[in-house]
Amino acid sequence: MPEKEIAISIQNLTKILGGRKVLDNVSFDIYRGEIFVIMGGSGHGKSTLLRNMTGALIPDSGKILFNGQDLLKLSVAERERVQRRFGMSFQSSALLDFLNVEENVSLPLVEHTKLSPKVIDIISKMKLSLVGLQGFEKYYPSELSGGMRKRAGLARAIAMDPEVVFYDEPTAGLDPVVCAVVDQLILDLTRKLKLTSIVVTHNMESVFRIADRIAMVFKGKVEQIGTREEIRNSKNPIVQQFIKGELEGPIQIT
Amino acid sequence: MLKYFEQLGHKLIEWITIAREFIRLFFETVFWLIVGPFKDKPVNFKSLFFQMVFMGVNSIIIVFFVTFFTGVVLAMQAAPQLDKMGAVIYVSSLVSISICRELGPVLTALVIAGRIGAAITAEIGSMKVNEQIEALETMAISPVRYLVAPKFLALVIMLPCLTIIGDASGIFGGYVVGTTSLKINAGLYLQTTWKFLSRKDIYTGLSKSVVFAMIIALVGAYQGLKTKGGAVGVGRATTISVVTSFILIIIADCILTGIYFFSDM
Repeated sequence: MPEKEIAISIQNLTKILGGRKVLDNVSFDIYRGEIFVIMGGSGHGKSTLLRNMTGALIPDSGKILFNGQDLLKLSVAERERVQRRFGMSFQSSALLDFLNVEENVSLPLVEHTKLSPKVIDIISKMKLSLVGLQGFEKYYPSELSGGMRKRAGLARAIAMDPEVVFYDEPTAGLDPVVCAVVDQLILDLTRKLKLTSIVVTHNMESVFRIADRIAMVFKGKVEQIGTREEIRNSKNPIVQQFIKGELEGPIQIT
Repeated sequence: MLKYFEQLGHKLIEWITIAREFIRLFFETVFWLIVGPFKDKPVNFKSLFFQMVFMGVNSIIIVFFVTFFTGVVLAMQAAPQLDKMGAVIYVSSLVSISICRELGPVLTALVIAGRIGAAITAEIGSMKVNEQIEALETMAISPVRYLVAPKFLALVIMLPCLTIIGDASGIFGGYVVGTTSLKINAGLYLQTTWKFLSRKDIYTGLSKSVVFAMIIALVGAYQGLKTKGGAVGVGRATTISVVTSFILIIIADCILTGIYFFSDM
């Protein structure tokens, strides 16, 4: 296997929200072409971590390097240019509800490229067929099921042929079979389109189905990073309690 | 005692922050409207047209009813008083001047603040709550350019148009009372309507309505973009939006009237 190239490097990231340290000196690297899963309980900072990477939140201190470039030092215009190489799939899929599926998927293309409407039409049809939604172009988000909306959101995330795709809880609120479908989709897209995927989830089944490497976030810190096997055989009681979903252990729910 | 000053200070800082953000939203919106076309990102024509129909055309009936009956009431209230002085004929000019200068623009703006301001806040607010605003930002699409600018422009175009309709239907309301129950000759009524109505009365009224349109659109958008906390948050934001619009419209009306009719006395 060739030398692993670092796509995103997080260095000493700290974020304070509402007087609380939501992220506390977090550092790790994400390699190109891998599926990197961030798991952890609700309220322990995994979504905040994701939002710092996508640019929705600005960290209080630390660095976020993308291809060696510090995102926080870029001007707004440069930052926007980098952001176009990111795709994001949201927990609530966040499709604009006054646009139909096709218009949603083609929105970034219409806004950021000078492609002719015909080409945009072909691209968005292609992206929709990649997620198995051909034939649903004219449907509005409210007319789709939860799983279909998730997939349409995914199609929008990959519309601009991004290098990195972020997924916020891609399987939350879906039934087990649809979960498996979405997981398979993430795997397929990552391999076929040579993406780097960063997934935030607390669904253990899908973690062990898709992850190349896993980071366990606990109380704003990264508890452990490792491959599927390393995490499964972890000696860390926090990780063990979390992946087994046990009541007794160091994680206390108040 | 110190505690109260502290609280007062905190409130003051909060208000200043809100005012600053609000003014910033105004400049950002105007920036996108003016600079957008040169950056190859003009206002989406389809969405502008859609908003103009929604805000303007669909509001005609409610504006007509409100101003028509105001005209009727004005004429009915004024007639007995003027009758005592034997000046019933001046009902027409009283109605036309007070409608064109004041009641037409203000009542239309208040109706639209209730109808459209609330709709803007509810729409943008629920988009905010459902991560749609964040999705736009992540796609490097400015929500101000994509969502606020078309609504702002549409309302600035449509509110003066609605005000013209409001003025006309208010005058019509007075005309109906004047020519039926007051038995004023129809031709004479219209003649006195025009006689005392100056061009200034109309264009100051219309320029007021442009300012009101900006207030409604920006307050609506601002509260929408600030929404947090699910469905309850959307409800709260909508209420605040309408109340704030109402207050700001009345204050702006007071200031503009001062400028137009008080300064050159």
